[in-house]
Parts: sequence; C-alpha cells; structure tokens
Amino acid sequence: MRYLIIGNSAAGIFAAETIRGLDPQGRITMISKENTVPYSRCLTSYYLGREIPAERMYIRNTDFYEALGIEFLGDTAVQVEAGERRVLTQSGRVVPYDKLLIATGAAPVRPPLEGMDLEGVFQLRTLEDAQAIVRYAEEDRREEENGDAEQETERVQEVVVIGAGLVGLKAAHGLHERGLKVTVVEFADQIMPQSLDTTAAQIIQRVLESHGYRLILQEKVVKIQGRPSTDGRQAVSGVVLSSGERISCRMVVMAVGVRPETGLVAGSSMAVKQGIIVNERMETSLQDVYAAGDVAEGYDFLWASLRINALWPVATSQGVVAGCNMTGLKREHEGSMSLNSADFYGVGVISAGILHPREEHEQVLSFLEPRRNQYRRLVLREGRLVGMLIVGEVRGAGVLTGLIRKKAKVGETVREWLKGSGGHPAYVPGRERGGV
Amino acid sequence: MKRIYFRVEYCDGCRACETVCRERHSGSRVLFMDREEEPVSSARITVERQGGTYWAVVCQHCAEAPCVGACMTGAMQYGDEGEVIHRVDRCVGCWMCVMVCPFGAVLPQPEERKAAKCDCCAGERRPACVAACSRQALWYGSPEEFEEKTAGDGHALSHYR
Ligand SMILES: Cc1cc2nc3c(=O)[nH]c(=O)nc-3n(C[C@H](O)[C@H](O)[C@H](O)COP(=O)(O)OP(=O)(O)OC[C@H]3O[C@@H](n4cnc5c(N)ncnc54)[C@H](O)[C@@H]3O)c2cc1C
Repeated sequence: MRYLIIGNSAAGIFAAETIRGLDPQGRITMISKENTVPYSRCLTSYYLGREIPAERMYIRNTDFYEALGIEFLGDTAVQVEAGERRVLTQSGRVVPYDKLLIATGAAPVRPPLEGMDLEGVFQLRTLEDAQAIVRYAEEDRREEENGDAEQETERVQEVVVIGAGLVGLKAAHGLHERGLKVTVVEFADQIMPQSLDTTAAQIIQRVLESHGYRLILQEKVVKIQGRPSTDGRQAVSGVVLSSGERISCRMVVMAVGVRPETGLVAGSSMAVKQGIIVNERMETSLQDVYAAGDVAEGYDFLWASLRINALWPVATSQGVVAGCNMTGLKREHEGSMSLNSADFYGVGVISAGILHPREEHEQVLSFLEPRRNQYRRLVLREGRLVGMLIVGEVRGAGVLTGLIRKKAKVGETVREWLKGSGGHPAYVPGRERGGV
Repeated sequence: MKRIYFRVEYCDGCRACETVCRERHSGSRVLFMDREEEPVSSARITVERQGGTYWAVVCQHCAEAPCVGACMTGAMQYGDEGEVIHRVDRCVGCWMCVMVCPFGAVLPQPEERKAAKCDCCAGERRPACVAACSRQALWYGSPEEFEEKTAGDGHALSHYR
C-alpha cells in the first residue's frame, strides 16, 4: 500500500503515526512545503516572546521520518489528480498513491489593505514567519548598537497587531514579552469574539491593559503607511484607523483569520465549501482521498452541521481517524466542537462549545468574581451542557468538556461548582443517571 | 499496561494518597518538608468529595488519550507501554490538556506554568499512593488483573477504564 500525506503538521503527523502503527509494511510518503522536522505552529508566539528556545518548537525527534520509515519530500503539491491517483508537485514530481491524505491546513487571510506589501508587515503562521519577525526586530536593534544617532530611531519599538483573536493576542503577547510596545486593533466590540463572551473578554482585556498593552476595539485599520527604509525599500511607519487616528509603528502583524489551503484541488470535482468536505471517516467526495485538520470541513456535533474548527486537537483527532480508515480499519470521528485554551499572565481561559444561546430552551448559568478574575459560564440546552467558559482557575475544565461530549444532564455537582467552589466539577461515579 | 484503579466504596477520604504523592513529587521527597519548598509541590492524585462520597481523581493512562491529541507542544506523549508520559520540560502551560481530560486528572500549576499529572511513580514497583492506601481503595495493575481481582465485586468502578 502506498500512502501519501500532504502536510507535516498536526493532522499529518498524527495520521502518519497511526498508519505506521497499523501497517508496519506500508509505504508512507509525506510532502510538505515546510521542509522541517514536525514542529508546532502554536508555539511560534512563545518563541517570539523568548519563552522557549527555537529547538523546543519541534514536537518530534529529528529522526522522525527515518524512525517511522517515511519518505519525506520538501516540495509543494500543486494538483491532486484523483482519477490518475497521483499528485503533481511544484518541482515537477509526479507522486502516485493508493490512499491520499490532504492535511494542508490553512493560511492567513491577506486583506486587500493599502500598504500590505511594505517591509515590516508580517503574519504569524509558520516557523519561517516567526523567524522573519525576530530577524526584523533584531536587525534594527543592531543598527542601534552602531551608535548612529539617526538610525537609532529606526529600531522596532512599536508594533500594531491587527485582529484580537487567539492568534492575534498570542502574537501580541510574544511581541510584548520581547519588549515591544504593542497595540492591538480589533473590528469587533470585544477581544476574542469567537471564543469569549463580553464578560470574559473584559477580564482578559483588563489583564492585558494592566501589563501595558493598548487594545483598540470597534476600529479598522484602513491603511498601513510607509516611508523609505535604509535598504531603499518602503517600510512601515504607522497605521491609520477608521477614526482617523494615526498610530506610529515599525511593524504590523496581520491576524485577521485563516483560510483553508484548498488550492491543490481547485478545478477538480471534489466537494469543497469553505474547506474540503469530509464525512465521519474523513473521506472526501473522491475515492481514496481523505482530508483532515484545518483544511477539512467536517461535522460539528453541537451545531449539528459542517463547520471548520481550525484547532490543534481537532486536527490531531481527525488525523488519527483518517489514518485508521486509510489502512482499512474502520473508524468514525465523533464530530468536533470549538475548544480554546490560553493563559494570560496567570489568568487561564478555557472555552468550549456554544457560548451564546440562540434558542429559547437554552439556559445560561454564570458566576462572576471580578476581583479575583474568576468567571464561569455554562450554557445548557434542555438541561444538558452545550457550552462552557472558564476564566481564572481552570482546574477540572476537562470534566465539563467531557460532559458536553457525553451530552450528560447537568445536576447538583456542576451547579455547586459553578458557585465558585475550589474543587472541580467532578464526575461522581454511579450518579450518571441522576445527573452530575 | 498497568494503571491505578479506584474503588469508590472503599475510600474513607483519609487523603493519605494526596500526602504521599505530594511528598514523592517534591524536590526533597521528605514528608512535611515538601511544604516549605518553592514552588510548593502538589499532589497528582486528588480526593474529591460530594456529600459523603469521596473519589480519587488520577490519570487513567487512556489508550487514546485526549491530552496527547490536544497537547500542542509534544509534552504529552505515549511511552513504550502505551502509558501517557508528561515531559515537563516541553510544557508551556497552555492548559490544552486540562481542557480535554474528562477525569480532570491533569492539574494546572499556574505558578510554574506547567501542567502536572500522575506518572505512576515512574521507576517504582508500586505507586506511592497505592502503597499508602490502607483501605485498598486504590489498586495498581493491568486491566486483566483488575477484572480478575474484582470479579463479582459490585463495588468496583466500571467507568475508570
Ligand atoms: C500562532 C498560532 C497559535 C495557535 N494556537 C493554537 C492554540 O493555542 N490552540 C489550538 O487549538 N490551535 C492553535 N492554533 C491553530 C493550530 O495551529 C492549527 O489548528 C493546526 O496547526 C492545524 O493543523 P493542520 O495539520 O490541519 O494544518 P497546518 O498546521 O496548517 O499544517 C499544514 C501543513 O501543510 C503544508 N502545506 C500546505 N499546503 C501545501 C501544499 N500545497 N503542498 C505541500 N505542503 C503544503 C504546510 O506547509 C503545513 O506544514 C494556532 C495557530 C497559530 C498560527
């Protein structure tokens, strides 16, 4: 059996490991345009902030491909030809397969904004992006060390991050830890609009502001301004907001969302909406072609519809299921849900599932202790948990995630926990039937 | 693979397991001294209580562990026998594992920005908590051994698999 996996990140790695575990003899080829040992892009912001050294971003050993007997090609797949069971690459390779996994993930959205091409405009998705940001920030520092008075003003001191989603805030955090003055501009009326409600957003916003971040809500960057840089190119000098305010900065990081990398199936008959549509076995509409991770649009069991939850745990679990089915072992994915976790200066925040009730039979229970930065919110649908949000002490959050998955009825234990008890909303053995 | 089982009806909430676990995972490994250390070491097994019922929460070394799938740093990985190992040096305290462990057995340690969980007292024949449990509410062994031992025992827990 010839397995071909495109993409060497969360979905691709977990699929490859699963396949190797089930089929010791099969031939596995992996193609990725990122010619590296598998690393975690979720750690790029920690690297920016010097919270971890570069080598800690790699999440597998340097002999990963050899140890698993994987043929690795550092190349870009440009076209899937499912009829011919082969994939064409940029360097002209024709790679045949029996089973194909598309795990190409997503790429940052590049809005058509004036000044996007200026030097000093970055995005944060890949290791390379992170290294480029670091290089740009450091380069200018060196100029300062030369003692040239004129160049001293050139160094990057101020950065504007566009977008206050998880990636934007993580990027902001990394840059702030690096010592830059960070301003985040967000179009919505709160930070992390997709994973927090307003109460939680305000708590986190206060935490960030107390550390010196400037957060600007309900504003758009309408233009990135430039000026001639030392190497003759045009470099970022500031941004202009919809209010007319101008913020001076030497660097801009765009974090306004991602888009699935579906280019390699464009023009084929594969069913694609936002992402590549997959069923519970991670099969696409074309025979022997599977998709998993950020590129795949699969079933969300809370919304009961197709939805992309572009998240690390979703990518790995889909990778495992795809890997099983590719070897012939039937496995079904239980469906994904939105799940987020972060920690800002010791204030943890975890959210899962549906946060904003849409229907009348949905009920919200909450507990707020603003002085301790503690907030808990549960969304129930007919007595069953469908969403949760915890700020502050996050211990035991997984129990709630588990209850959402199990569609368990919520009873006294959880209600008591909600009132701020220190323990966790544990699952009492034998009380399943009566509710937890 | 061996793991720690818990039988709810045997537990009287003495919390000896927590105490010895904290000691075992402290720098000094000396009982009571561990509380003087910075940062204070914490137990990886916790005894929760509801009404008159106590139950111990501890890593179940799941065959397909949600924490391994959710860990974005490679800190949570499977060991050679399928056990779940937490490589603390890789942990950045993102709490993804805490978010998905259905047992609540991965514990956030905000001060250290690291998660912590049971390692079955790696390298020892029997985990300290099991050895310390005078009521034998905690039990260590393979699933087969557990099944055999508890056959016909209505008190054995069925959900801790
Ligand atoms: C800064 C940052 C922080 C994040 N933090 C979190 C977090 O805290 N929690 C969380 O759940 N998620 C987080 N995410 C999201 C998470 O990283 C993604 O959900 C996850 O990486 C998706 O994995 P994937 O394997 O589907 O795709 P990706 O990680 O996008 O990888 C796709 C791979 O395919 C390769 N590829 C793409 N196209 C081609 C092609 N045509 N040919 C060859 N190779 C190709 C790419 O080079 C890449 O290696 C974060 C993301 C970023 C950027």
